[in-house]
Amino acid sequence: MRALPFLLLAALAPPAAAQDATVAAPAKLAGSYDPQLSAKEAVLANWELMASGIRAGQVVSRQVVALADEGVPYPHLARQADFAQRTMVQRYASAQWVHEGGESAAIRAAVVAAGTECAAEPCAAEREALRAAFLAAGDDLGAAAAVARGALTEREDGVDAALLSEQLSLIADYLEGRDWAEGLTLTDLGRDGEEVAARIVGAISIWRNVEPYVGLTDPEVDEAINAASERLLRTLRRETREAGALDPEGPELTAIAAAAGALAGEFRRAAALFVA
Amino acid sequence: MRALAAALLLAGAAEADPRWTAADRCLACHLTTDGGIDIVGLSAMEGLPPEWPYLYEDAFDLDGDGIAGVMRMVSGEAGPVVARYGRKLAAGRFEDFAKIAGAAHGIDVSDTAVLAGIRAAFEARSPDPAPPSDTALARFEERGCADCHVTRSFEHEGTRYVPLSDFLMHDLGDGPARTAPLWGCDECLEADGHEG
Repeated sequence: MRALPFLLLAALAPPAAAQDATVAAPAKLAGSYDPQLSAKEAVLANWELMASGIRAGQVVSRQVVALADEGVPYPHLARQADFAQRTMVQRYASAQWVHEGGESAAIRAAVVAAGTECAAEPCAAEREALRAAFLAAGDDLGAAAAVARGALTEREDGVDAALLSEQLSLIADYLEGRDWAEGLTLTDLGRDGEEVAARIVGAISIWRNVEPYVGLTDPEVDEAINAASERLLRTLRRETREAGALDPEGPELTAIAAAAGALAGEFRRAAALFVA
Repeated sequence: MRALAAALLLAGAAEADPRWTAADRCLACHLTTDGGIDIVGLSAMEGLPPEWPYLYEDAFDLDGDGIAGVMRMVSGEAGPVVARYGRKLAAGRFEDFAKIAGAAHGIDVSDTAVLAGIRAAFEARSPDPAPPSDTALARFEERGCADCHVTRSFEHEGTRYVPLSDFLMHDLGDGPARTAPLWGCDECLEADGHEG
């Protein structure tokens, strides 16, 4: 009964007031070297992670172009290209929940070019093909990075509770939908598993930064998200490692979708904590 | 220089003479007996490409190599930034790390000029690490150390640097910590694992 007046007041309060509320920071350990992001910074950090991650892919693609221009020995160029394409694929996939891009023909072409062998220098044709492919892939990554950067900029003036709620809801939507299984770029190269895993891990990586604020608000939701997240990661490891091609209707993606859906439900509960 | 080093080493930060500058007090915990400091490559750190940790992060060991490494975002001057400084990756910039360390040790470093003095004092004494030989790097890679102490290099002001760190947090059983940059430590390349 004692809670009733408070509940009535809460019900009468305009939603905007609750959305404006500052989410309290967890208590710091005295003398700790462990700094904390504010709730708003934690949310913005997640957008920044995505934008900078794609940008990192663009940077390494440009480095390959520069090496091709310098005329380094082809085996060295191919090694650097192979290293670069892994970052490019992983970071583009990790940020799919932001840029909403599906297949990138340019990134795929760069992956193929990176795998082209040539034993007889000067390998002019292979070198030029590799250079052109990485240049085009870099442009695609630059465009995706601009989308992510725009998403960050749009939110810089937002209030922390609303930003937290929105980001948690976006991730819930993404996990619940099946965009992470659509438009896979590297199916014929046997890398479906890697791409699906990167997309899902990229989405759930937001949790690391925002968890303290959810945990502070509702420890039970915090624990439920951690448990569901662990289940999803176990499922991902089991179903995607060594998985070349994934059948959209097959048992692997069905199992992943079930685990992702369960985590989405928990993220939705967390999002509701920050809405009036 | 050596006299100051000896005095600071003898005193330590806690009992430092109040007439000492904030930079002196900070140096007290970092000086080595030869007048240098135990933080290597401070100037070179400015040239570490911001994308570096993104090249190596595998937060949940999905590639199955048994190694999970996580990058860390922290508060920066104009918003969240990727952390590079400190064993726990506490800061993205030297100045931010100095503020955190200053607060932990009761040294007031809030003034911009004081911070600039600390940076100058540390940079002047921080050894500039030379890259290891290709042979040493090859042996290091063969032993599997390069999975975290990566052997990729970067250029800063015309000099090549090999920091030998992915600048990610790894948990080896005693809590997450940054992969120690081993640049400037040639004997580390020959060590027998972390115990060695």
